[in-house]
Amino acid sequence: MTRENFKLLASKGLLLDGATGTELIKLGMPSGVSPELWVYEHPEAINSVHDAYFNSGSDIVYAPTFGGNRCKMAEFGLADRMEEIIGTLMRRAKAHAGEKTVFGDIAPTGRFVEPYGELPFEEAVAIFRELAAILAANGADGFAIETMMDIQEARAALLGCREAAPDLPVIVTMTFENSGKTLTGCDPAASLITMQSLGADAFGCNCSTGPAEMAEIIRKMRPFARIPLIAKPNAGLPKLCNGKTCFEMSPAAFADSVNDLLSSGVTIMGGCCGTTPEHLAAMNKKFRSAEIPALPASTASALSAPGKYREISVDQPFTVIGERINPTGKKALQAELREGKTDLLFDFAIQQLDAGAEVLDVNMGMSGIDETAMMRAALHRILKSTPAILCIDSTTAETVEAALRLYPGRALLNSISAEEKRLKQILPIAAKYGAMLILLPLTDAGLPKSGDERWEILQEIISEAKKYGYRDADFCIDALILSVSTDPNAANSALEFISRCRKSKLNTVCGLSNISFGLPNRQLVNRTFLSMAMGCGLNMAIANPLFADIMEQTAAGDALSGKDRNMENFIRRFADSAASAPQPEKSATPDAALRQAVLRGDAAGITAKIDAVLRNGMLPAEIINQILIPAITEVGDRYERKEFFLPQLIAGAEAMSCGTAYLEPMLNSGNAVSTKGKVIIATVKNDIHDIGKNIVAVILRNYGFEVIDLGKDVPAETILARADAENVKVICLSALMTATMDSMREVVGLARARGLDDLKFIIGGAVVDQNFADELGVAYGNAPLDTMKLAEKFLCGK
Amino acid sequence: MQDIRRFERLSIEFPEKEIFLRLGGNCFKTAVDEDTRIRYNGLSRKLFALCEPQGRFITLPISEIHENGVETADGFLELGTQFCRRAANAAALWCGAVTIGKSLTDWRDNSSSIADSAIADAVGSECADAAMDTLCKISGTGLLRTGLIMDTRRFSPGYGDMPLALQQFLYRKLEMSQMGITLDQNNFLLPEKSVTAFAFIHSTQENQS
Repeated sequence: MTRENFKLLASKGLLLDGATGTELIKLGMPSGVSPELWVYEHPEAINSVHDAYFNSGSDIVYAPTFGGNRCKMAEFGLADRMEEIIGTLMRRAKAHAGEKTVFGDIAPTGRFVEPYGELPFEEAVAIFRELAAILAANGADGFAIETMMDIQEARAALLGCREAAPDLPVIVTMTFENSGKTLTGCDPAASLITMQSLGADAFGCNCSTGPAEMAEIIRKMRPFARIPLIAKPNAGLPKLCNGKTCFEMSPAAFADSVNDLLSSGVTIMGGCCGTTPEHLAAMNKKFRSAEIPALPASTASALSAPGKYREISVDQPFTVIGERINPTGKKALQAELREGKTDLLFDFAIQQLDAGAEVLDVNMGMSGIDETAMMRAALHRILKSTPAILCIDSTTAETVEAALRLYPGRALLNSISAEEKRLKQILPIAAKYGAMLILLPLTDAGLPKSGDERWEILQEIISEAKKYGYRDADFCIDALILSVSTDPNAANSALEFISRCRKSKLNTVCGLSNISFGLPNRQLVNRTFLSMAMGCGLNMAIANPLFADIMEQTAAGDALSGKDRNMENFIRRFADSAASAPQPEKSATPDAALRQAVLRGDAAGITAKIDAVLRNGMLPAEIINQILIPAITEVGDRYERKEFFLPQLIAGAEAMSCGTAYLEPMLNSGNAVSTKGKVIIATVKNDIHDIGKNIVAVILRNYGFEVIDLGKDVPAETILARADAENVKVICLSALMTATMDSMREVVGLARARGLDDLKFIIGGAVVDQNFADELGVAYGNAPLDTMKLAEKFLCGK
Repeated sequence: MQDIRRFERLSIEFPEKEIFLRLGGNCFKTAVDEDTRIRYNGLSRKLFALCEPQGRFITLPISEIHENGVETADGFLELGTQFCRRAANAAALWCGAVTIGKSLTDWRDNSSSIADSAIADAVGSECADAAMDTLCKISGTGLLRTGLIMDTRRFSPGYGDMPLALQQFLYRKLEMSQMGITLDQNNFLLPEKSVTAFAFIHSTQENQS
């Protein structure tokens, strides 16, 4: 079957098969064996399963090669027989089916692929290429890549199939959980965008959910789909009934979902776990009598990363591409890259994402390093721990291919120009991996001299790119911003060009800071130009998102132009910061600023604020009693009301600690702040967990207690001896593990045995609860502030 | 069925919401100022980058089920009555272990800020949980196709009435020393953010036939 034939058939609606594994079990396959080997030894079993599905109406059945890749075969010690077994299974299935269609079934290796796992990407591609080649050589009509939970493995499988048999159709289904994402966090629409741009012939879901849940997942994909959508749901969700698994959905109920699936955009459907030939027959009846929707033909274009996507269009919100991961002009980054380190670029990535950049430009072009190797290292570092969508910025074909091959999404490529090298070498690479393109209207002869010449060059590049299947929506036109300091007409020329592109509904992008090069007050020039360009239709900029005014301006521009629906983003961005959270008071009095420092946990800045209050004539003891203690009390109250979370509570306490430590030497004896009394705190014997204990200690100190912290893994004897030596009457004990609760019992028991009945114990920790405290006859501190209040009660009678 | 399945690197999604909740955050009430948000997000991401989740599991056929344990080829395993209530007609016992490695806990222990240590601790705990979720899901997906289903509830030694001493069995059976994990005399696993678990595996064969 050719890819074109497949598309034609898909437009009329295709029915796939149902579950194979459970059907084989019914025919006697025992649990725990290699299904491929068992079917190899029992060919009549799969023949009857295939017959049953064909008789039920299936247009395409899957060969019994689900676990046929080298990794899976190796789990059963069959790696060296892979070609013999898998080749035979495919050949037999096709021979039995005759003219009917059989796809080679390809499923996960069971390993995680780089950059998220240990299996090198090229090794993963090679594993799937090997399997696809065996399947194709033995008569597969196409490939069904299924049950993928990681987009990078799905990509490797698709590339492997394409490289082994470029002309055969490849359909891909991933497994999305009820949460709407795959186990590894892949988003449905983002996955579709990625696999569609990489050349999948159809995409969708199989397994994990029933039909209703699957229809909802498909609906998320549909706005971006240009290929047929697939659904192979389970017969409902598996349930445990008397120790056995049940899929409770009957064939009739399963068939009732056909209309919902069709309305979600599905034109290819079948069944997965729990479905039988009866389910497929019922589905077939409904499917054949229903109106098959037209194949999706989305005009939208988007970039993607595993967990998210970004639609790029003149009608969508402005996209800021963070420019910081580029060694040009950054000596510290250059030095790091020369040493092969990626710490600084990782910091840049996090800072820019936090500042609101939707896409990060990654450029590793500098002398003295291997650009391709460094690009791979940078991608590894960024992708492993951030959700970033990336723009690959390189003029080297080898680097571009390495980056686009590894990137687990649809990347933006910066850039394609009319220069021969970029058109002939880099454009085909970009097309192979389906990247969106920044188009730079210049030639080997240099910059165009007029607006018309710029436009002509652009049309030349677009025409060339369309030969590879690109559409206008896939382009982002670089407005080629030059500095107004060298060309006073640079801004006007660029604005005119942006307007011209906007009329053709082409996306436009610019390197924003170029406009102000060589001028004073560059930020003012940059943001003014940005406003003018947005007004002309600019919808993307490569800029530094750490300049808040740039980000605020794009947010306001989107709100005013109606691209930010109901101004939701704008209101969220500014309402949150203005109304709820503690903000620095610009004209605050020194004592209000000091209070804010505690509320904001500003330990580094608190001494300067204390100095300002002292200069106003307030005494050190007054500062503690009238500002710091009320402030930390407010922090505690907000934490209890859940308005603050734990890091804010602790940071407030740490700021308070710095403040009191700074003031203490200034207190004379008469003004000394009295403590509320001494408290011993310890993690009990055999327990090495002390984070909770440390937090409680900080809180107690900041509420005026003198805390004797004995650390972790502290024997009962040590605790009681210290209490005796220091005349302490309140002891706080912490434990994280069930096993170490006995150590708490030991401390309390020893105290009781010695008649130390005036000692008060407060216990806490992950496994401790009120019942256990009651059993020991002690108090229970459920949270840091509870413990503080109990200590106050015991020592101050409050 | 008794071979150890090893994953030198488990892929986990950044458990952002879970970390926030673990730290006492409330999605509707907690108001975080911009500086704190950026600092917290940045730190969490950096700490997530320090996690190196790996895991392994094994399934042991069960020959007999008792009120407080099961018989396997390794003899009687006392698992506690709470866990065994879920045994029903279980065909096998799933045993798994994950760790996120040592880098994050080292960072936490060396941090001079308790607030940062608390964040590191939460990131570590949630990443270890996420790694175990992933390991269970991988196992469950594979088992379903062979007519077996893994119970969605897992139990860990030391919680409820499941004896902590079972760590010794798991440590040996899963060859956890190869994961860089040590077991101390109190049956604690080091690095600290290492987790073990049991779950029952049930057969689908009866109701399918």
